[in-house]
Amino acid sequence: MSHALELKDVSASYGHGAILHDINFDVPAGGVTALLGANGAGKTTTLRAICGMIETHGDVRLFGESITGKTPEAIARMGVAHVPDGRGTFTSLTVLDNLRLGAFSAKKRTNFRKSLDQVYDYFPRLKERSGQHAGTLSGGEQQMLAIGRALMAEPRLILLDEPSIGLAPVIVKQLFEILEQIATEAGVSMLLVEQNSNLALKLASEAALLEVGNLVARGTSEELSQNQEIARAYLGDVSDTGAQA
Amino acid sequence: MTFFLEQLIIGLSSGGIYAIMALALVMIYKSTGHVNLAQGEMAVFSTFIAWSLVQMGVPIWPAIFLTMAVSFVGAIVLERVVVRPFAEADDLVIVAVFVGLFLGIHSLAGAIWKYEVKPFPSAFSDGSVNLMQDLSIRIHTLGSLATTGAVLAATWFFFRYTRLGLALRAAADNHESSRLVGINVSFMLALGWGLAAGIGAVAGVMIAPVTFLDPGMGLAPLIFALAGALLGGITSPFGAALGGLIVGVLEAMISAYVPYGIEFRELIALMLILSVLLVRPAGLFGEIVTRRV
Repeated sequence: MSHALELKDVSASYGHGAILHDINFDVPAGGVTALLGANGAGKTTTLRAICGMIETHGDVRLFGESITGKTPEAIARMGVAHVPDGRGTFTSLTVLDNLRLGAFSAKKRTNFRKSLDQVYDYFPRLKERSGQHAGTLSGGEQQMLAIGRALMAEPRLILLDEPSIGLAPVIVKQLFEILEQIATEAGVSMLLVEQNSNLALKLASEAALLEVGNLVARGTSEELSQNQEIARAYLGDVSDTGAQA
Repeated sequence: MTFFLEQLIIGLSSGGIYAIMALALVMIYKSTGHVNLAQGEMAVFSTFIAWSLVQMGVPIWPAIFLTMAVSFVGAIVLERVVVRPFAEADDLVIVAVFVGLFLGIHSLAGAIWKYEVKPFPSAFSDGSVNLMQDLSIRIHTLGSLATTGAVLAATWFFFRYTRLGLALRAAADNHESSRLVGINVSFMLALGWGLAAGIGAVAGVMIAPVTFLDPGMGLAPLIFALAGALLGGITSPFGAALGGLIVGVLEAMISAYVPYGIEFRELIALMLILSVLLVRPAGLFGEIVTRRV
């Protein structure tokens, strides 16, 4: 099976002591993998390690090619779009400029119009607000913009950092429906970091579980949600919704 | 009325120089959060380069464009070699670096070209035009004003409509997100310095025919440009430029109408500006910058 992303014995640090310890997992090509864990487990750090924002050891491979030690801008140009923690909005720029920036490292600049229409198709709200300063958008709209920006790059892999955080449940539901469309229709591989494991396991085919910088479980989403021990210890909300049966 | 108009045009003309300098300050401030105290000295150094070129027989306009190009490259090298190593340093250390740059460039200009006042040729023809009865304005004044307009328009077009301009705005807005969309932020910071020096050179060659050229001429325009940038809002390029224009007009009007105005114009102008800033701390057009920690 080919992999969009493989992590082999990846360790990472912010300069003072390791945060991640020999992590191993992968994202299948065209698939969605969920990276789960409690607050402070190292999920965001893992994403930052993948896109070259922190010192990383081990081997990170994008479609078989090693990207360990490359700069974030180089990794972005290789087709990794990151929807970061806090959404990374360019607040003083307009919505349209934010989307133009998403396409900054797209391989084919001629596809700009097509990508833009596609993004507006997924998120009509962004079209309505295209001339507005992105900093004035609501949280949900900024999350749409962050995902839209990622799509503009025509990425091979999208890294999503807690897209549901701080959003009303109804918005989260819409957002995940669109993410599912993107994964199935556009065939983009995704690595999804979520605290809301219930949501994440529905979207993802595979999952990995982090605990204080160590990988403690990996498998298909089904396996992880049905493992009662794991469910009780880490995925508290899964058992609440009937996964025990 | 004629006298007032004359003062207004003179004010706008020198204000235009402050506007260009203010724009140069904003370019570096927006992307790094630091005020380049050496901006005035850099512009003076550029002007000396233009002077030397003219002495060598290069016509004035080619000399100006050549100077802009040399300044652009020189500032990129300066940023890389002198400023970049201190990128992560404390603010006070960076102030010290800028003061060092100020002194270094000032001394270098003095060493090469000596501390003596030199006439600098105008890029425009001599003489003046009669705009209306009793109102004649030097062609240099009008040309300088037009040049300011051209620089502001070109800058606006560059930032608004080009891919590189967009990347520079992005880098100024959010370093991390810029890198995540594939922008080489480190290069953009250097480019900001290059552009600031390039347009700063224009300010220098426009003001030098009026004030004459000497190594000490950069300080007053820098102070006025900084005042203008603060007045208009140092986070907004065109607010800052407009602030520069306002400061120029204020300066001219105070000199013309206030008793002892010529002696105290800097002080009075600064006091007026500070009063505005008491009410609007971010300047007339600026946004209050909040930084994520």
